[in-house]
Amino acid sequence: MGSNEKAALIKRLSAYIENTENEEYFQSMFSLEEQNILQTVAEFEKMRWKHNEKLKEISSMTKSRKIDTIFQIKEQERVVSFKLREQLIEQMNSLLRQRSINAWMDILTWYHLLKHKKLAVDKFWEFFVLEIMLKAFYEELKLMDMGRGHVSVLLLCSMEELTETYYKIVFLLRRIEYDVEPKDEILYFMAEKKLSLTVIETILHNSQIYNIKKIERALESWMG
Amino acid sequence: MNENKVSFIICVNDNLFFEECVRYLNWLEVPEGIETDILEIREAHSMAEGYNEGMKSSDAKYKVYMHQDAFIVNKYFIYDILSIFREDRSIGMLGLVGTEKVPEGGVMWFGDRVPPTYELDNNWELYRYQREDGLWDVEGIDGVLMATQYDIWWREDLFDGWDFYDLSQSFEMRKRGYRVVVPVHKRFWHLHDDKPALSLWNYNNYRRKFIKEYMENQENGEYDNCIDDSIQ
Repeated sequence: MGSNEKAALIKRLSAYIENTENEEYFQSMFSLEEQNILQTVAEFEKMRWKHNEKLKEISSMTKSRKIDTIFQIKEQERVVSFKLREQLIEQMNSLLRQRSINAWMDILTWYHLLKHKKLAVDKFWEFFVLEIMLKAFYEELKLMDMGRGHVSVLLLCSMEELTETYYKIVFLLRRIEYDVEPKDEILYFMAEKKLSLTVIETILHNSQIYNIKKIERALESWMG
Repeated sequence: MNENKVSFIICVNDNLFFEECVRYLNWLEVPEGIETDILEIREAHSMAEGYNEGMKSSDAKYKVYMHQDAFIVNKYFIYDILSIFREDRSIGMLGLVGTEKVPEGGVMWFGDRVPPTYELDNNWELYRYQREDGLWDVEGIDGVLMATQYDIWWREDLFDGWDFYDLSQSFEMRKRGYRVVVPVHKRFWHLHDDKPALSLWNYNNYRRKFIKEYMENQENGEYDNCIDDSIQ
């Protein structure tokens, strides 16, 4: 996908959001997988409106009734949430398999759309990880534009590989933090996976790691 | 019961996390004369069932039931829990996160949790827990890590899923007159890479069971009558 197609995705989505009733446009401009996601989003938004109406009555309820109402609402959202999650993961996998910058731009677009709507990506752990890896992608892209490096995250070709790589890096960095041997395994992992230092640094600054300076000093001393 | 043994009992379904968890367990300082082992429980139908299986399989007096995605970063963890348990035999169970009072609705995180959020200072690497730092007496602890010095059957009859087994066990301990505590600690003893869970249907079922079993004096009957068919 070239940059024109990337702009087109945003334009397609903008046009759809402004005119969701245009069924013909919808079917011609989006793939089946994209249509499924957008239809589930619409389903979710209708449900949420109904729940918001119910929640307006909550202040008059007893405490126990209030808690039960909230849980019941969450349960009704659960089914749709899981459906959306599956559809998104399938779409992300399809894009990741392309191993291209433009595919990652599409992922970024989908992510921001759903984050803005507070759907799925703010609830499932895979998308918390994806958010961090998208930051890494963005940092690598900036450096590439300055002629300094390449986008190494393109090598990750599925959500499973992406999340596993993320946690592996967190674990390896923590070993440095807590002096658990072998501390320098991160270097071999980076070489094996061909990941850039930018990816490592992004994860370092966005994960449950506390003594960042200690890890930075260790990495600097090993890498020169 | 082997008074000089600590068993770590873990329900496992993710090798990446479990292997890293074990790495930290093997890194712990072990007091002289103390034996340790790690029991991995696979394909458990529920946390309570898995923990009962682990409990039956171990002759250790001290048992640490923990999540596969929890990492003990207090190198002297074994020293510390043994000192707490041995100094006061009325303490039945110890955790790393708890609540002094379980709120009315049975949802632990709606209450005040201990320890509270705190900032680490520059000397955190030098900090070691001291018994004088104290203990919080709590009504319930979080299932991320639960250490015991007495074996009490986990209520797999009631909690046959992955929720409320921790609060249930806390109340079972207290019913038998044992204290449940959280050490007052000034640096993290553990890290937890828990993945946010969305499935609240089972959670609510177990919450109701928990309230009926352990808090029925407060809420008896009320929860059975508050399902509104119109919502569904």
